[in-house]
Amino acid sequence: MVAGGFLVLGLYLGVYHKGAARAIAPLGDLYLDLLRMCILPYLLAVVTVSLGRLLRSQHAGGQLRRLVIVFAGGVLLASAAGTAAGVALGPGRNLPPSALAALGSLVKQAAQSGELDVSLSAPKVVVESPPLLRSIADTVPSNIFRALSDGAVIQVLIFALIFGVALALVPQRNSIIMTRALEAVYGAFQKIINWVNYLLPFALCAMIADHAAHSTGPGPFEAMAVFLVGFIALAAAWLVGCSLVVCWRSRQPYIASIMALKEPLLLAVATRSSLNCVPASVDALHQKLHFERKSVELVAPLAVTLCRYGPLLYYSFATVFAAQLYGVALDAHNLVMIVLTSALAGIASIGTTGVLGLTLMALPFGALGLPIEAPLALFIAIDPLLDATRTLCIVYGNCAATTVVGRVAARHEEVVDAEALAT
Amino acid sequence: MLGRRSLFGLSLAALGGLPRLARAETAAPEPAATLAPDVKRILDRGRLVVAVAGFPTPPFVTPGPDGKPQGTDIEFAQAMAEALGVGIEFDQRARNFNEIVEVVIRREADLALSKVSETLDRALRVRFSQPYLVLRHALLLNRLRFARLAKGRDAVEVVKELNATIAVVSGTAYVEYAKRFFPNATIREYVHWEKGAVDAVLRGEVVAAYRDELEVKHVLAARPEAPLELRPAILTDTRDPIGIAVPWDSTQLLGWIDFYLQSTAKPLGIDALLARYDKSGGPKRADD
Repeated sequence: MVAGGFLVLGLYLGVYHKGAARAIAPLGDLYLDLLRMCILPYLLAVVTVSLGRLLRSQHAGGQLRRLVIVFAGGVLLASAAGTAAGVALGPGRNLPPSALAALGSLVKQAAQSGELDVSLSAPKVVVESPPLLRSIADTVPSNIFRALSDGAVIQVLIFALIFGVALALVPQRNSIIMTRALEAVYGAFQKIINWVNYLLPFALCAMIADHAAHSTGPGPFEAMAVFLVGFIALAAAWLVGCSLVVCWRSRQPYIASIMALKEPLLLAVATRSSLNCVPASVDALHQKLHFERKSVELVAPLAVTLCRYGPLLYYSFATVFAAQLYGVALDAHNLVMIVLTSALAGIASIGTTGVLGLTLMALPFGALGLPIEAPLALFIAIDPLLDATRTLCIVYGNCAATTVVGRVAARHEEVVDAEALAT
Repeated sequence: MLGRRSLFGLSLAALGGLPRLARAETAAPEPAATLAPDVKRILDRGRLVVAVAGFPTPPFVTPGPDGKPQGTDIEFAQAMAEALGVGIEFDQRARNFNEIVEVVIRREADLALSKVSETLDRALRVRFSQPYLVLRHALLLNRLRFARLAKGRDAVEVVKELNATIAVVSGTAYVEYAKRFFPNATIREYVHWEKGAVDAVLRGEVVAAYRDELEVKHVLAARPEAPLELRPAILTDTRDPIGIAVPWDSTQLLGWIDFYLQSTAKPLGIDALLARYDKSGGPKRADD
């Protein structure tokens, strides 16, 4: 309730008092910096510890299997949903000349719409694109401390996974101190994040005010109205689906299950970074919806990084839009290509936010032989609105996936957990 | 031996010549004797005859409301005629750019001032002034067909070795340029730019349309849906020099023109021309 009030205040300031909005913007930055300060150590500790706990528990095999199935299934589901919605809604199909003209002027105004400067006499520049194997090899950090200081999320995650597995295999009497230390780190950062969240309402207000103050006006949104409405409808359908899954798995009344997750959802909209929402998601799923601690702590961070539902929905929907715009036939072969390449691009979008992630659309676009420069200019113009929507889809989808893999803790399991921690 | 009479006659003749010599030194020299024939012809006629396009080529030459031509090159020619102190007459018989040059070769005009590109071929038969505008060559690429052609390769390299169909306008310098710069390409000539080459590239019949950067940029500005379908490529190290053509022996006139170009206010630059073009772009897109 309080947060909602601050959100509205932020919107009001951003639209009507741009000076005030700019003045309080640093508060939002402070909050984000504090949060970011905690995220990587938190991630490292939580994944290592919970992976170890999982491997030592009895249900390890089953849980892991469920994890892989839910992740892979979720990714393909999102990609297919985006494609199907694009075909059904037809955002780029049969646009009237006035709409095409509006899109054309949007492309023209863009800073980069692919105008080429070609020097006929310049020597040939050989651009070597890294082979797939090299890109995969690059995800393993050669220096974990450098990866941590660079904030290379996927590298830190790979390290945490490997280290977590290894630690679980070290005899308990030797590893227990390390495990305890990591649990302490995790607990400490959890506490820090809880303190930082006292700032949340003010930071929310500041961040929303800043976004609203920087909005570029309605022009681009009008031109892309059909696309926007289509994607928001798709996202709404996805979110409703996620809420139903959460409600079903948590066995709580529908509204209560939604309200339980309001903190991570608000954060998703305000910060537009799914990673920042992990601690809040873990908290909400465990404390409010009573899911088992150990699965929530493992699945939530992994899901957020690997299952980028928002970008998945977007890439596939956007590719279908562009195919319709340029009159490329969407036969079965092309549709399958869209689903698969969007899934790949979605996975590759780890750690990217906003506009940077959009360039990954080169993958599905290239598979269909579609030009990317002009559509990219269109997508960049409307991104401020859709960035928040995509993050919301990731976070809610992540929560839903976690509830599918995890289990609601029965009362006695909590007690056992507490005892295990105490020894 | 010279008789006294003949000596007297000789001295009379010599004496008679003296005043004439004296007159020649003090009187102002008559213009007719010291002017080069090309300039003399114009001054005697009292009119400068300028060959211009008989078809619209905005913003340089466009048909005016009363049949008189208008445009930046027309204004330029009028200023030159004023500087020469004569009237002006426009020869608008040419149906394409090559024909404008032909009018000068046949000496039916004193000069050609109508977005005439200086090419090697033309320079063999007429003399060109220093260019008063240098345009770069440019391509209009059909985005979809180009993406298919490139298949993910570097776009710049694909343009350099363009292995596709290019549309050019017949009778322009770009037919020759296309053969020279894009040896791998198949060249298709169209009579008109907007209704021929540009429409062809919009429909995807050809991959690219080839002309100067002014025309290419104008298409993108004038047709609102064009930027969505077409991608411009500017060939940065090419030159399309636009100059004034005179008959091969009009050396004096050429010297005067070059001096005029240097010393007076410069003709409009590309951005100003584009602005003028976009403004004038409305009703008369009749036949170009």
